[in-house]
This record gives sequence, C-alpha cells and structure tokens, in this order.
Amino acid sequence: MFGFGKKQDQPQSTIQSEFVEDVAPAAPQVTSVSSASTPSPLMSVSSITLPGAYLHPITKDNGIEYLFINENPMGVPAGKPKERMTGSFGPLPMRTNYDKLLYGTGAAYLTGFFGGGIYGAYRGLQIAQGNSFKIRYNSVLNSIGRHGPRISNSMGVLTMGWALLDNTIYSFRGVSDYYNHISAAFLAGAIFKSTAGVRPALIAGGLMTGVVGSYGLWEQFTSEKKETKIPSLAPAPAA
Amino acid sequence: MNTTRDPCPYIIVYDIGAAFAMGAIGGSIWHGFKGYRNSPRGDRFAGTIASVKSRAPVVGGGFAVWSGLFNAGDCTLVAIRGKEDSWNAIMAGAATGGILAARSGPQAMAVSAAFGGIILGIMEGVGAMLGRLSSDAYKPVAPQLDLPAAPPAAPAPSNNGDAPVAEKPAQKRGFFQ
Repeated sequence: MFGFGKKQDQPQSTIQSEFVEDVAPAAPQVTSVSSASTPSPLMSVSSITLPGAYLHPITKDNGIEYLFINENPMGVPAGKPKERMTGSFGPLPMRTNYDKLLYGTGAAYLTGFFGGGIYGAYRGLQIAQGNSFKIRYNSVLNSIGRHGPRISNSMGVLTMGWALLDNTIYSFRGVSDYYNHISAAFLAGAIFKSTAGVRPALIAGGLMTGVVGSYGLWEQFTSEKKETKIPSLAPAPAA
Repeated sequence: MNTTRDPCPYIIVYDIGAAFAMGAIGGSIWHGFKGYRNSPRGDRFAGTIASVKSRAPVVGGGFAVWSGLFNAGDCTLVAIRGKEDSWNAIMAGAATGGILAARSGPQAMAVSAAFGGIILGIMEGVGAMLGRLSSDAYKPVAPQLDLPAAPPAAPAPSNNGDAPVAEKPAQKRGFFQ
C-alpha cells in the first residue's frame, strides 16, 4: 500500500523478511539478516522489508486499499464504548435527530398527500351534483385539491413538531427512548390544537400518543429486523 | 455516485421533509412578523398566531411540493441517463417549473420552466465553484527533490531514418497506487 511489503519480486541480496507470507499481526520485529554475508552498516530505508501484515493487518498484502466506515476497524476503541443512536428508514440507517426530523416529516407529508388525495377523490364522488362525467371529474379534482394539501400540511406540521419536541426532550434528559417519543407526541398534538380549546387539545394529544405508542408496541413485539425504526439510543456494543 | 446523499428513491422523502421543515419554520417567522405588523394594537398576539397557523404550513407545503417534484425528476433522469451531473438538476428544475405552471397556459409554462432551469443552474454553478474553492487546499503538489544534475544526454541512436522511438519509463508503483 505504501510501498512497504512489496518486495517479493525484487532480488534481495542481504535482507529478507520473515513476514512476507505472514498475514497475522505480528510483533514489530523489523528484519532479520539471514544471509551469511556481512551486513552493511549503510542501510537505506528502501531496503528494509517491513511485514505488511503488521502495518495493515486487514489488507493482507493484496494491493487493495480499503476505506473503512467504522472509525476504528483495527481494534478496540480507546475508552469506554459509547451508546449510539440506532434507527432505520427502510434499508437506510436513520441515526441522527436530523434524519428523524427530515425523513419523518417527508414520510408524513407524502402519506398525508396521497391519503388526502384518495379521501378527496372519495368525497368528490360523493358530493358530485349531477351524473355527467365532466361534473364528476371536476368535483373530484376540486375535492382532491382541497383535501390533499390540507391533510398533508397538517401531518407535516404535526410530525415536525413531534420531532423537534423529541429532540428537545432528548437534549434535556440525555436519553432517547419511548418515554421521550410518547410525551413529545402528546405535546405536539396538544400544541397543534391548543387554539381550539382544552378539550380538542387533549383529544389531539391523545390521538398522537396513541399513534406513537402503538408504533412503539409494534416495534417492541415484531422481529428484530424492522422496516422503519425510530432512532433511539441503543446500549453500547460489546467491545 | 454522490456519496454525500442517500440513494435515490429515499432522498425524495428526505428532501421533502427538509423542504417542508425549511418552509414551515421560515414561513412561521415571516408570517409571524407579518401578522404582528398587520394586527391592530391589542390583538397583536392573536393576529400573529392566526397568521402563522393559517399561512406557515402552506409555505411549507409549497416548498415540499417543489422539492418533491424536483427530486422525482432528478431521480428519473439519473435512472434514464445513467449518470449524475449538473444537467440532471437543471433539467429537473425546468421540468418542475413547467409542471407547476401547467394550468396557466403554455407561455407561463415556458417562462416558469426557464426560470426553474436558470435557478437550478445558478445553484449548481455556485456549488461547483464552492467545491472547487474549498478543495484548492488539497491540490497535489510535486515534491521538490534535491536530485543531482542529470548526466549529459547520450548521442541519439541511429535507427535508419525511422522516427526516434521514445523510450517509455518503466512503470513503477506510485506512492498511493
């Protein structure tokens, strides 16, 4: 990789490495003089063959340079292993609070968009005054245009508020779990409907609590492999 | 492949979320101030709340729709053309502008499409410029070696009138290869 450990092809008169074939991380013995000839005191750096396996235990002298996603691929990280956020959005990791905010808001917006569109189409067919195709078509289009954006905007705002509150609670408590998620859900629903009065606010908060809580229960009781998992602090991986 | 963004179908959801959040938060500030200014004294707070409640989600929704259409177009172009470059973004921006103005007639559509393409072109250009500026510090520089002076050139070998054949230097393993 760095020019070391690549000397097998070239003739070496006095110095040979014992570790050329050895891929296990070996002790840092640099070289050994195997020839009977007297070693020259003037030894240039390029004539020293370091065991490549020692310098790069994983690359195994195959000439491939690896990029590691892991911060510490070679061994145990220094200090205590830290807790990490784990979560997923489909096949992608969803590890940070920003991921949660943006993916959550986007998914909620799209859900509201298409759900509102379908609801609007249904309502438009229901309230159409007349039987001709043109009138029905126009009624459906109007109704979709009314309900789709309204519902998607509401869902986007609710999810954004939930994620922001969740992040705020996390920053206060230093813990990210379903107590956070559920209380943030109640607060988000209550604030969303706070201008309508106490009773609607409590109802909206209860609805949001129900949604997030049932999602948490589903996450709890399904298998380990989840399609979408809200990012939470996972216990530290065994070092 | 752009490794700083998530892969294609998912980036649509991500960017819709980003655009909605941006629009809703920015719209809250904007319309909060506007509602405050345009309310009579004594109703300032109520006016602010009402204005934010009714207008900020609409701003966010507009941003989200623009971003969703743009990213859907971008991903479609990536899939069709098989490459990721600035032209994807510019074409997707033009298409988005055109689609969103589709109900205002062909002329408005053309103007809107041109506007979208130009805006995205400016954004891509500025992004490329910033990338170039910020990566200037990592330009590879030839090391200054203190080598002895080269020996005098040998007399050219006679090869019977043929063009002189340049000798290729033996391929050596570079530092990073």
